[in-house]
Amino acid sequence: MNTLFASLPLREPPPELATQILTQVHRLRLRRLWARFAVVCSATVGMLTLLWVYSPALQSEISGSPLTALVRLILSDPDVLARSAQDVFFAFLEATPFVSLLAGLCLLFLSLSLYAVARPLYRERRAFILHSFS
Amino acid sequence: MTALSDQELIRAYLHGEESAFEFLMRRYLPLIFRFVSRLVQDPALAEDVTQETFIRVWKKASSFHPDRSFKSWLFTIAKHAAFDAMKKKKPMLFSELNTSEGELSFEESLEDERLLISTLLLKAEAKQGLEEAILTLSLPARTIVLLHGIEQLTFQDCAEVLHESIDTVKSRYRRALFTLKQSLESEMHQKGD
Repeated sequence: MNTLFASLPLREPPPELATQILTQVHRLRLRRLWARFAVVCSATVGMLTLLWVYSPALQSEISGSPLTALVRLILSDPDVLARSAQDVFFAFLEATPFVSLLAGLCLLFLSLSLYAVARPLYRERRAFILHSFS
Repeated sequence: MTALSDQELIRAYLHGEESAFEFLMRRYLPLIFRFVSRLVQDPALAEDVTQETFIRVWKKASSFHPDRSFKSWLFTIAKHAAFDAMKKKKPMLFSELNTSEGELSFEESLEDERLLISTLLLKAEAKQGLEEAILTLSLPARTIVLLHGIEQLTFQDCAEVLHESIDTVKSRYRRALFTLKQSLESEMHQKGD
């Protein structure tokens, strides 16, 4: 069977085809990474805008929170924890500025995402430039 | 990395090893180009289809099941890319996709496959003749001849690529060989006249 079709002339791909495919893949990968970067950037900007708009409310929530006083009390008298642990727990729940905490966590998550997207984007751009010049 | 199997390479690629894709692409580029160029019969289009095939592989790599044969998965993608490109290029006739070649006529069923091949071998003295005869086959028949005859894919792999049963693929292959023989015979008669 091999002899039958082996007589057919070999058709070799043009030498530049492999490079063309790799360039196209690099381009698509870059496009995908830029799209992710744009999404995370918009989310971060949106979050920062929200924080800026609601900054007075968040500031008053933090400044009006008795959390620091509670922490100071526990540090000055650690036995209070053993004496009335349940009360201290409820006091913590009441004193914690949850909205500010949540906003802070969101901002932290977005910053980490931005780093996670920016790093491969930088590497890919570098690889693409190197690939283009090689 | 060149010593790694296809499965190991694709696994490495999915785990973030970007260079594994390049190794896979370079390993299969000649095979895919050869298959596609004989299928579409247009060098420029063959380049585009080969490129499109590897782009699709890159996009769909995460959906590849490691238990499957990578080669047959790749050829499936190449076949789809080639058919899509041909459909865009010119409207494909319904008869070209006719799959009735799976059923053998009485005359064809009497032919022994080895005899069929040796007759073909005698008749296909001119390489161009065989090449042209392959072109006269319908698209499904041409695909099976290219996959099994030229690219040496097993019938099992061919069945996976064509989404057909092994028996259908085998009978379609025999039918294609029979058609090739007839085509070469008529060409010889014409030359003799």
